[in-house]
Amino acid sequence: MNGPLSAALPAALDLAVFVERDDAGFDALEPLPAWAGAALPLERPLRLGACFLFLDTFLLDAADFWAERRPGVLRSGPWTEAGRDGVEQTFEALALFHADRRVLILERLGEEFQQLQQSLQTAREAALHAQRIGLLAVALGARGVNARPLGTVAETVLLLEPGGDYRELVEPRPPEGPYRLADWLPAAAVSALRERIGTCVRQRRSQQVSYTLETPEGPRAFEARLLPFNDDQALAVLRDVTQRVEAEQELERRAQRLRRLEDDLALLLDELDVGAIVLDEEGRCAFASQAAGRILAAPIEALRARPWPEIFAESPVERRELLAWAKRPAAQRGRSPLLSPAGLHLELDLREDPRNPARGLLFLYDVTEVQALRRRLDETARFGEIVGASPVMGDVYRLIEDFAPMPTTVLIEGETGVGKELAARALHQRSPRHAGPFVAVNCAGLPESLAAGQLFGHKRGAFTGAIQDQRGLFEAANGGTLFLDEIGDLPPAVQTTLLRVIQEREILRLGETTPRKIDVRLLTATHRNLETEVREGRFRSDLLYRIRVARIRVPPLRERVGDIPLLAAKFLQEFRGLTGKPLRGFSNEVLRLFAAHSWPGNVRELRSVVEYGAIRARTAEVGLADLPPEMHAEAAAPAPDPSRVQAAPDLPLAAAGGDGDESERYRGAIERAGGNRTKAARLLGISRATFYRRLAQLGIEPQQD
Amino acid sequence: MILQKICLLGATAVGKTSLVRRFVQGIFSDRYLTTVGVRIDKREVEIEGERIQLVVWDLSGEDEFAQLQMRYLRGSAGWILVADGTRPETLDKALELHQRAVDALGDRPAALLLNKADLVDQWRFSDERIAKLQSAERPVLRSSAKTGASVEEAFASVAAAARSRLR
Ligand SMILES: Nc1nc2c(ncn2[C@@H]2O[C@H](COP(=O)(O)OP(=O)(O)O)[C@@H](O)[C@H]2O)c(=O)[nH]1
Ligand SMILES: [Mg+2]
Repeated sequence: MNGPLSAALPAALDLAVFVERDDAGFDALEPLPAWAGAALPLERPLRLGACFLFLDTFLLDAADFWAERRPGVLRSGPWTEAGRDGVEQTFEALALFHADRRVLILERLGEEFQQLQQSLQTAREAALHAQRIGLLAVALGARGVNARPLGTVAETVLLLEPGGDYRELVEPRPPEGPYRLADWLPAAAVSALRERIGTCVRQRRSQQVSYTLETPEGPRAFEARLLPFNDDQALAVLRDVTQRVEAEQELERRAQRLRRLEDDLALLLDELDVGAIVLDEEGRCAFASQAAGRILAAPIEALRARPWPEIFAESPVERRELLAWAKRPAAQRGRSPLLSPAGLHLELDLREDPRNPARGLLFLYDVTEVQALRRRLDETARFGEIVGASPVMGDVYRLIEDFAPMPTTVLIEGETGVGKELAARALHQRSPRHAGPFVAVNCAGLPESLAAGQLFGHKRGAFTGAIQDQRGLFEAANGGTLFLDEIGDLPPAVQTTLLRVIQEREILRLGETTPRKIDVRLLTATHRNLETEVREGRFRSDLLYRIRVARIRVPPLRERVGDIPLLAAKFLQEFRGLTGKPLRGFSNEVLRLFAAHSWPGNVRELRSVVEYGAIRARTAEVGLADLPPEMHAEAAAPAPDPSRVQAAPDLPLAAAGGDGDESERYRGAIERAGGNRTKAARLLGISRATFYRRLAQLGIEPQQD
Repeated sequence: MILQKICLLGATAVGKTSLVRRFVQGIFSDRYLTTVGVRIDKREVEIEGERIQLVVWDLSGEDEFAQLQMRYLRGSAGWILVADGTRPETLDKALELHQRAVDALGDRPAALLLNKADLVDQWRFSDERIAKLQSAERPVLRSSAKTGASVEEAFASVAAAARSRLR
């Protein structure tokens, strides 16, 4: 697992941490504590539900919990089960949503749990004992039994007269007494008891009274259960509940300790850099966690009472955008990317306070590490400026690597917009000349009359308008690389000069007679088929052989559909900076369309489509409606070739989007499955986990099954 | 192999844990060790020639200290209700839990055990009341974890009913 979950911490806390995958398997956060390693199977991904059958049920609850993206933690309660190693142990599982991941924490309950069990045992034994005595007394009451004066007897049964006299019935002997309650009970307890006796007798309903007695061993708690008896009498089953009360207090203390464990979890979240800010009804910060303060590099007190957009954005425009984001329905809101004052990459998540929907909870995720990781990922996918991780681009990279160190000319071929210049730059950057200049010229843009002068330079007065001595581009590139783009468009006269320059390694400025030595590496590119150009007499064959010592073909975008998401994400990131919008990704429909489009304009076309979408987008996600009209027409056209759609891998920045069709499909599946969600997921051919997540994203209420 | 989840429901100390131990390990102990939370055990049985892995959920009894979590019952094939023959109020508890389970999950195969049959001289149920509890869908058995009486039958009847319900 990557990202900001620091691996060492859970292990140090003796917790086993897992992250659910979309196939409902789990990845373990290694290293696992030893007990978890021994109890769990060795296969990865882990099927936790098959290993611990208790979890099979708990994961149903957890799936609901995750699907609703509720903040906080879902606890399983303790359970005892043997794992792979056959050792029976008691565990507790916790489900939480962290950094967009479905996290399951497994905790082994040790001493704490045994203490809890011990006090429960005591409490239960005491209760059972009291019950038994009570039953016995009722059974014996009618027969009349012996009694003895009441001191601090643990359990006894009294036969109460309306006036407050009583006989004690304990052993199967004639009842003793009468005694007076006032002889041993505090006055307040006597009057309370008398009142209850009256109610009990009149209404023929049992009553309960609790009181405390001072005894030589200290205060003891008693409970009297009054049962109507005969016409005007009552039976009182007295129990010394001191032990039980103590046990209950002990339980309460344990419960508090458990709650503290929950606080510890908050601490853990703190450690993991998830900041939390609680907003009051007016959207002001009512509370900010330690981590929030740390992430925002601000003292917590300084955050308090500030309207939240102010905390995150300086300019009114940005604040308005944040507010607009917050106003969106939760299912469409997603997380808002932010740059913190300290330069951290953050993601902001807004939830309703489950206890009070008028209040908000803001979660702050520090994704700088993730961002850095993404960047690193991008870099491995990049070659210089080239973006692409597809196999065909791999071939291109290898050729660049092979040709870069050599002094030879290289001909780069490929359709317009595929990024031939980027390949040339990469060749330059990886060559021994990388410290020298890189000069790029588009020959197609050079008018014939000026081409030679531009390339080779001229002497003052060499032609009209040559008002001073001018260095040509060859000289400008001296010690470095000259890249002649669209060399096929070079006028024939200039082709001849160029051929000579390549052969002689010297240039002659127009109007001069002394050649100048130059040290330039020549790279060329064209979208034309130069062979055809030669055959039709538009290009010199000897020049072609000179420049085509080495060749690199940059494939068109449609041959590397897998790179489209990477490229689109990269461009979106660029425009995010330019537009200042919290753009997060593309809807699945857009990605599908991108994969199916033929991209005649290649990367350049993609870039402008993304730019158009970024400008139009009204949500964090670029949807179909945001694309240029000509792309809409295509979206409406018949379904794209599925093999190509599949070629598109998961997008790192991809955000799944809500789309009418998809919610229809989901609703339909739920209906067909008769409301059974597991079945509905199967009908759709996706995992339950994915199904729940999509339901939440699409804002479909999961029904009960 | 088919997995079947069967839960034990009842008041505290009626003998749920003891019944499971008898069923899974074949042993009995007089010592009372209260169950906290859930305890999971497994045993393979053969029902009409088919092998079934029973996953037995022994749930902490419900009393003033603990409430039964209905969510633990999710996905169960059926349940076994346990009452202590020497304590009539535990029968009320068992029937109440049954009702709550049915409300939460719908009806499932079940059996009602009046446990501690070895202590029958201390029983406080009239035969009349027991007769009234009998029904076709929910057999009532007089069981004993101590002697093993009716333990196998109880699990087998729920497992078989659950299996035929799925067919
Ligand atoms: N005589 C007798 N005692 C039993 C029987 N079943 C359970 N017990 C005892 O009753 C007490 C509670 O049993 P336990 O299985 O822990 O009950 P649980 O709370 O329902 O799980 C223990 O002391 C057991 O030894 C039985 O069939 N006969
Ligand atoms: Mg038990």
